[in-house]
Amino acid sequence: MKLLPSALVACLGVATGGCDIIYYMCDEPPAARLEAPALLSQTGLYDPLASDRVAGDVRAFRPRFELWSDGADKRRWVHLPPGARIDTSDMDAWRFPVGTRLWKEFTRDGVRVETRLLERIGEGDGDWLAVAYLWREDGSDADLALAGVIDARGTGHDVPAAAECQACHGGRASGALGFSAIQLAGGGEGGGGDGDDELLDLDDLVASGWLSEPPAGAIEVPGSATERAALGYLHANCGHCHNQARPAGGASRCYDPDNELDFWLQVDRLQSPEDTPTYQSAVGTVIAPGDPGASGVIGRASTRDRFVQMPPLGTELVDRQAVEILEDWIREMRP
Amino acid sequence: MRARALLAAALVLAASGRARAEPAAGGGDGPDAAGGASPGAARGASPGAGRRVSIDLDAGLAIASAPFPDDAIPEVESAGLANFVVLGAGYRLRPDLEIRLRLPWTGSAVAMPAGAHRGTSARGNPELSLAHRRALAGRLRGVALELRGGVAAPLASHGPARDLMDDRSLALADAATLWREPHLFTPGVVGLTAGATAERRWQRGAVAVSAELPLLVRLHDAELDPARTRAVGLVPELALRGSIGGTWWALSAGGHLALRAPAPVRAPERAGDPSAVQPGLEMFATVRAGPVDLSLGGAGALGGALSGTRVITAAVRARL
Repeated sequence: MKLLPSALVACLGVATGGCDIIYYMCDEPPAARLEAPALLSQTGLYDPLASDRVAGDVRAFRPRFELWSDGADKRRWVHLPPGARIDTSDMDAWRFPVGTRLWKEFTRDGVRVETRLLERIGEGDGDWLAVAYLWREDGSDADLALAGVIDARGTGHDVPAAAECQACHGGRASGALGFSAIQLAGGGEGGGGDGDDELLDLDDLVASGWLSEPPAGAIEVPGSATERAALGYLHANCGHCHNQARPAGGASRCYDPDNELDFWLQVDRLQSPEDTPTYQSAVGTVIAPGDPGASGVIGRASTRDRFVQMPPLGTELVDRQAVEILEDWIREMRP
Repeated sequence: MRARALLAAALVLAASGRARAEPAAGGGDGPDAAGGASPGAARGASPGAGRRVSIDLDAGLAIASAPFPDDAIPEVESAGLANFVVLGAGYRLRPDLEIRLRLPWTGSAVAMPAGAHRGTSARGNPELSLAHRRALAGRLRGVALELRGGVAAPLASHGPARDLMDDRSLALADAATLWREPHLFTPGVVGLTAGATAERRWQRGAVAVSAELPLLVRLHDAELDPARTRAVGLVPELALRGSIGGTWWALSAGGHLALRAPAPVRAPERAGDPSAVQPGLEMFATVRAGPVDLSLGGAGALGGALSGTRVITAAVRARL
């Protein structure tokens, strides 16, 4: 029985410290989004005849710009329903067919800890099943972990609760954050286009006819290597919240940051670094050209004080390499 | 930053008038050591003089961390921002006897493993109690003794088992009250409470010693792991409070010691199990305006299993 609405709790929480204290107030996911198989082996990731082999209709992929997960090694897979197509009429917000499944496996300090499942279960925005599976110590299977796990399997890795998934994934209509045109486009450092034939990339998707509309041309993140790395980091680690195309309504999302920052790269705004939303919205606000020390984005990225840190969720360790890239990038900017 | 947040919380609560109180002993003509602005002190409600009816409202807001002893979900912590509200009403049957009803609620922002918070609320166990107050004679002349007894009905909400959010919210409220009101915030139990307060007053000050003995008799597991629940829990508490003040104001401070002996829910066996002894400190300021007392204060755990828990409590007491 809920005698006090969570909104009141949220209001009190926000009133006590605004965004400094509570970034994300999550509601309980609808029941349909919790009706997941009890075991990872039942989700279709693995070949039913060989539990250590990925199923034939499942393809591995790797986004060009990765979300920092405290140094965890990650593997990802996708399954698209046979004969279905991804609606790519909006190249920056793909709409996936019902039945699409994506998995992401986390290995921390050599220990395979969890595999997350994201499954499209309906046509509406936010109609995604999002849960995590905790690997057993003997590696025989992984068990559904709706409530999440702190310091799972003796590592420092935290498995998110099902209620937390939409905190990030609800920030974009597409739901699948790392499976997009920009993330799968080849020709650059890392990602599915780095020549690894085993990994699905944008060209494979086009060739397979899985996209309703192929991209009009090559998709290249502009700028120098440092600029591309910085823009890519901000896109993958900040853009799912800090973008101006967040789905309306709070049903799919926990809490919308109240600011105008936009770190989400867009296919039609890649002519130059200055053309990107990141430059348009952040330079001069949280980025002080030529002065990393005066840039709020550096202060946020280089701390893990939970009331200050960015990203606020899913990380307890600073991504030092990313901070250095951001500092170099800002230092190279002309004031 | 946390200090700023707590200050903001205090202002929010004070401005909204959400608080709790009780009739001041002796009719409000001096400081009241037993009647601090914490829920634990509410058990020390004294019939007072003059008015027959009293209402009180406690509201606390805490940054709390509580052991959450259930292996059914692997995250055995319950941490976050806890709000608790206890609405009380008293009726004086005789000059020395009062019957009281208290209704607890909690609303919490429970921290999730990856760092998000989830809002949840839960109903606590309503309590009905009797308080008898008498003046002692002989060598203890000048000391007022209050004896209390009550029962808390097992109506606290709980479950579902997949995430135990209600149970965790109640655990946070239990932490926010520093284990002084376990019968209000433990699901699945009937609380049988007994307590006593001895208070000595002077013109501008008072000292009170109180002891509570809440017995928690489990009726069901409240979605907790049945192997973790005990048939009986006992959480005795000792408290010492002092106050100074005048006719319209009072400052009070105190300390208490709660002991889970045993806890109503058994903690998992593992290294670093939380201590069963929980000390705490509290300070309050009270302003009296006619029949209404307004109190604002803070409390905190001194180490122990609730280490890091800090709470701001506001209270309104009205005698009608």
